[in-house]
Amino acid sequence: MRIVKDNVGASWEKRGNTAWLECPACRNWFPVGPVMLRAEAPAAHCPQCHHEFNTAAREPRSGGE
Amino acid sequence: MSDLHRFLAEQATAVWDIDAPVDPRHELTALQHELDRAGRHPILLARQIRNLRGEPSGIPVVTNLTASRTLTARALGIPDHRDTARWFATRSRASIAPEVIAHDDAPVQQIVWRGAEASLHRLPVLTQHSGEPGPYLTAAHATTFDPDSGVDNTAIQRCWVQSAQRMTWFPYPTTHNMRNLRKFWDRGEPCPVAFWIGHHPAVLLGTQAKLRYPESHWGAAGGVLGAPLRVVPSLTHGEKIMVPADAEIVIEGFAPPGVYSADGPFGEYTGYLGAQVQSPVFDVTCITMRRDAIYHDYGSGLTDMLVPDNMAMEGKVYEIVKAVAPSLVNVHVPTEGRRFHAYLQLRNPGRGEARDALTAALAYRRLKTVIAVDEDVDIFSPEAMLWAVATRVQWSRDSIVIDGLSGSGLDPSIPEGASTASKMGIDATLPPPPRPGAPRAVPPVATVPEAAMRRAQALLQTAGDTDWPAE
Ligand SMILES: [Zn+2]
Repeated sequence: MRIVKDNVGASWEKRGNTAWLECPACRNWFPVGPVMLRAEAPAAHCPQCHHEFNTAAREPRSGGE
Repeated sequence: MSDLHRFLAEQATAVWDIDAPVDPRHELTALQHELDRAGRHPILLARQIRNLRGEPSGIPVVTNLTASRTLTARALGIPDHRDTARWFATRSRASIAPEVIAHDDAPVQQIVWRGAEASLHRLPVLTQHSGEPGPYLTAAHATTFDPDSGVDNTAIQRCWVQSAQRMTWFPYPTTHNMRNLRKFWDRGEPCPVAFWIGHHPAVLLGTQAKLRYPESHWGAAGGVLGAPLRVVPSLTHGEKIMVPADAEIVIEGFAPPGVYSADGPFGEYTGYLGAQVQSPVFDVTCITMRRDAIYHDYGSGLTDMLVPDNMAMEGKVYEIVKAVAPSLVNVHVPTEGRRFHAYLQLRNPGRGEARDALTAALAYRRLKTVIAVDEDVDIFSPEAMLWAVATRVQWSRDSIVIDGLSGSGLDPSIPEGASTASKMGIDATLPPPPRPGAPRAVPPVATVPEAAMRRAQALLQTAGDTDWPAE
């Protein structure tokens, strides 16, 4: 499973606010809110293949993959 | 007595009864996108459609019910849609108590599915946009109650049908339904809920009024309807949760304590696919409906949902701004701004009044850009609004930027981690005259004489059907 998220930057720089997860089963990428990356979050649910997987333990990598 | 059936019969010429099979996955939504692009807003009725078991649905689907402002205003009894703000400001405050009727007299309880029969898969629930995990109820009004006071609350909240008897339920964290849910969960109890679907548009808009907590929405619905709303005790929760007796379908059950599921992505009012979040889940105990039930769907992020929502907002913004700026005459919340833009029309505002009006409107959580104009600018015309902004604004003098006001977490441009928004007011009014009765010290608008305009209109009528370029 991979996570993509924008870098943290200066307040005057435009940055995106949405993290993307890659489904480990079907490789589909989908957007998730910050709540889904918290330790107590329910399993993420791939909207394409319906695979469920945990994201909580994973630290998102900033900038690219 | 008002219901969806009566409204469809009254507006028969505006209904497109689609005489072809339509796939509940994406096809009706695609049709709504095409119609929005073309600026055409018929009500869509699909009878040749399948339920979630893949069987022909005995229950037709209606959507695009409120995509037309003209039609929606007519449903409310407003002769001209441009009068919505003032009408709503007075009507939704006039509360009319609901009328409780017996189970046997309630159309919505004519058919009752219980136990395994109470399957969400028997309904023709649509999947709207690419990237969504499955079918969503988009016109389900969730009714809960406050366990402390017993007062009920109602709001439209989306539900993802995950299995025959379980769906997610997304009450946004700041909503009154979420407060009710938390109270039950804090006691370790499941939260009782009834979702009702399908009604006369006046009832749909009436229940969307923004009220205090706790305060029942039935009175406001009656106020908008101009008559008491007929309600009936739900079968699962009895008198603790009443449901509209003339609704089409009711889904009853409980949200089990502490159980969350992934929910989304889902196409939001912003026009973007909202990210996956966590939601409570809801387990079905029974489903009731009319013998001739119609399933209602709102095209999320389309005019179908924006029009009624924004019309109700116009009333609320009018009330807020009128309190500080008596020169306010009208408000428009245009669909092209989603819920983020409001246009205020002022009649001869005094010094400072336009800026007072802008600041008051910006305090409304959903709004992000507010533009104030004079009475000569048509706030229902995007061209006229841009003309006023182009010709009556010096940015450093006439714009107000305020950071850190409450905003929408669904705003795609909001910085990560921010819980507030940066907002802007634009004063596009003309300066007041130097003294009362004097002309304003600005160049006049270029016009032609009335008689010449009338002659031009008459001449144009003689041209008949033409093939002239539109751009
Ligand atoms: Zn997958």
